[in-house]
Amino acid sequence: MSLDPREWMAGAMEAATNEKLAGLIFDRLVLLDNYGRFQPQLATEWIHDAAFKRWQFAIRAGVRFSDGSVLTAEDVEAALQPLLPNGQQITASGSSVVIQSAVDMPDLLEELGSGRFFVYRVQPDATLLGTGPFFVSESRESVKSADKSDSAPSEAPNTPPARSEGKPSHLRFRANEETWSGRPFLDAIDVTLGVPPLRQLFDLQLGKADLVEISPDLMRRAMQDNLRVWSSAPVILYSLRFDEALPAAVGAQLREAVSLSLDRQTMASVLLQKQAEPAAALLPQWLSGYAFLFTMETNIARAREIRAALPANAAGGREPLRLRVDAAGDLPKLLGERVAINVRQAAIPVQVVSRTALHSASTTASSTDATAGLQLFAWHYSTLSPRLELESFASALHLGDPSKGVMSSTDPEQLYAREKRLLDERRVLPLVALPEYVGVGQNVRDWMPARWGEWHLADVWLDLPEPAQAQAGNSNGAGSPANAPTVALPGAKP
Amino acid sequence: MSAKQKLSPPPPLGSILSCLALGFALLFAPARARADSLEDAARALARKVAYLLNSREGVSVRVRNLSSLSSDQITSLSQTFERELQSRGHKVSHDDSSPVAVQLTFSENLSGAIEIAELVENGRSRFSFERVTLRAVPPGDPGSQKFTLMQELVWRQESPILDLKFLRPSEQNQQRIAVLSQKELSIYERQETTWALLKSLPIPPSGPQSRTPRGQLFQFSENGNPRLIASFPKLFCSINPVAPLDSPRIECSSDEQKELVGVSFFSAGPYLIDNGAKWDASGTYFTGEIYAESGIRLHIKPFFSAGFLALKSDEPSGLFIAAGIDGRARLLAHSDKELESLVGWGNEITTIHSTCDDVWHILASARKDWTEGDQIAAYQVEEQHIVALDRPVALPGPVLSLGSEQIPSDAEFAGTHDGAIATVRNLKTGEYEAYRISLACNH
Repeated sequence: MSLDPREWMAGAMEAATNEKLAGLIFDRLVLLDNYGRFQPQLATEWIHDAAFKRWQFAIRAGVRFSDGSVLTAEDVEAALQPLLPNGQQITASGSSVVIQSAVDMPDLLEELGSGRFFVYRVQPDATLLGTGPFFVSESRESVKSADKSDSAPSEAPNTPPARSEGKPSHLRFRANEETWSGRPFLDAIDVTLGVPPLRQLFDLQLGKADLVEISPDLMRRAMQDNLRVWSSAPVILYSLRFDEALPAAVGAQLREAVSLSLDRQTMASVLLQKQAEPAAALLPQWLSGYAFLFTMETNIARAREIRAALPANAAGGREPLRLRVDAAGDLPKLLGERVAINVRQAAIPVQVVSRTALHSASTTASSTDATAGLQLFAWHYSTLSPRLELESFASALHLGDPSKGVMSSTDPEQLYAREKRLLDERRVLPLVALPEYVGVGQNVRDWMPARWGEWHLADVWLDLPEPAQAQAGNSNGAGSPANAPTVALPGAKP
Repeated sequence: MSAKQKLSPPPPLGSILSCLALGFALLFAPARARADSLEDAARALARKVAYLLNSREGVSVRVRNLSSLSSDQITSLSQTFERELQSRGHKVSHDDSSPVAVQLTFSENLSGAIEIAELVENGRSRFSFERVTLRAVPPGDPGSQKFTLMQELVWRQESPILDLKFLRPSEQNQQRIAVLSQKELSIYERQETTWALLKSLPIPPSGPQSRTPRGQLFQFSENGNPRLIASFPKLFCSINPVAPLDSPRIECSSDEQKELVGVSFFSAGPYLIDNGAKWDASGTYFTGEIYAESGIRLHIKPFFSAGFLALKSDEPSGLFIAAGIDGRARLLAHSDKELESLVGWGNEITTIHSTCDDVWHILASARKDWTEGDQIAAYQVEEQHIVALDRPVALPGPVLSLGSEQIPSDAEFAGTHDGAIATVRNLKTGEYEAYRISLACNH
């Protein structure tokens, strides 16, 4: 776990968790609201030239970091420059910042309003300060950027405890009284990481936690227990990727055979109990608007024909095709087993291999493992720009022709054509897309996350139980019974 | 008097309007080949399809909606699409009689609507796209209901409305409203069917904001001259409402040593009561200290909003209702003797006087949060108990403030605006709206 946006990798599942927590302590320049409108955050106004190559953002005056120091345009420049894609240059100019690029940036607001584009200040001791509604730890005012060696939790002050395998770690966020966006209602938020999914469910039921992540395989149980559950739009894509080591001569046909053998509908509706959607596109419908145009055919007979026409020693011939499951958790393993069953139906032997060391999708995508085979990986969408998401995906997985450069158009027709070309190569085969599920305590009010999964905990408050000494209500029907819960005091402690 | 934990507006940000005007106007206006409206996009898409068809070739059109557009909108847009094709000589059918089929799909993403035409001919598909950058779902008709308790949409804007009041009629008897936001106080005058902006006065910033920003409008007489007061938890502003065009600027003070800074005032409908209450330090609720001219008069439990059911606070019949921050609404006699305590009400309460029965009534929001549509119900006091009057009216989002329709003043009531104004955040559109809530006579 790292709260340093510079260390997050696009598409990685860990980055999504990091982003949720970082959203408590950092702000972005702009925010996309649930109505599709960009709202000012640290930037109060923005303007761009006709070519969308130069944007100017006016920085909000009087914003202070959690240590009381004032935010400047230079801070914004220093924070965002390491995060911006290659070719985008940010410079401070008075109380504004200017972002320029040689190519047009029509979706710059979508880019800056999501993902890792938080504004922070790096302290001389490498800690990070934010301007957001919370800060880490009661006695700490800043966040240490993650230790470069993950194995050794730092003892230094202001450092969030590192997450060790199998052992929960805790973070305590306290309300920033002077935040520009208004003091949050909650006094503090305790976050425990690494709690097993079933334990999280129990904690929610017992009132030991107010918000928990619910894994898809526990959703049915949560519903049966009448728990309050929220789900995002599909934000996690499970896909297969073919190793680049496959011989080109047989690769295309083998990829087609594997693709035709996959039964995504059964994966989504049976294996994942309708908690997922079959995925035929790289980008989800809510992000691209055209995902419905893609379809994935299942045709076992045709897959067997193709396999039969391949040389006997082709991949999957003499030795089983190796399917590596590179995502953490039980769900990817189940998916991997299901993929293996499908592919074997096309007479292609498959051996499922789980990695003990967990890596992010991006890490594994750049793996140099030359063994011919497949990888099953998870990709967490991290930007609200379909163009940037598609480019991040292609770049991380080495898809497409790099010589053609990065696409700048946000025209859906061109994005569709680009995505279609990537899918037609069949180097990546989307399987299923899943939302994030969150169990919400009955006393949590104003739980208003964005449908793409961003939580807004500064707006949340708790409806605490009514004290026993409360008086009885009237009996003439004007109000509800007196034992209804009372509202928490503003900023009540969770 | 009103305050609420429920208000959730986008951040108390300064320049939403200017930002939107500047940012969006520039962002989406220039140089991009985008249709300006859904209708334009439908026509442009039809032209693209017509380009792919042979001259006067017929097509069968099927329509699919994957967007949040209403069925009425889809019907209208489909007709626009078909009319454009027909105007170019193509016969349109809705069966399979034509060898060329067009699947017209209305979709959307975070940026807006996408209209896609899939032209299928001889088993081959070709796609054409048109997009419309819509930043909000088109607002629906707020409608009204035929209940005793009535609602009517008065105003709608994109930035949060802290308060909206009808001003006392001008000498020319023209209707004026004052709309208070965090950034500015705007005064509009009725001109036939529209409201024309008379003047917009900027409100200076007053330090760290509350997450639930609030402000209220009152009117005082000062040396015989009316002064329009915009009261915020940490700021107190005034102008001359009769001649806003002549007011050079709004006069504001954030000096907490001044007696009116950090204090708001009670009212009974449009009547200002000479009692005040102090905001808490966060500006979220009132501390419960009730002030009169002589100083602190009494203490009650902290509350979000309150109103009198009498014209004078010290009348023997004077009743007072307050929505406590503990979730209880309390009916008090002589301001501090608790007659009744209720749960289940929301944070917004106001009082109105009905000409139907010459009785004071209570309007209260429901106990909901920012994620749900809200309700306002009417109540009255019978033998020191509160009874419900009528079915509540439903509103399209959380009620953020509730107060009298006409600006509370220490002058005599004049005019017909005897209802209440509820400001609401419409959950469907994200816009902020002001509704007139009134009690209609059944006889």
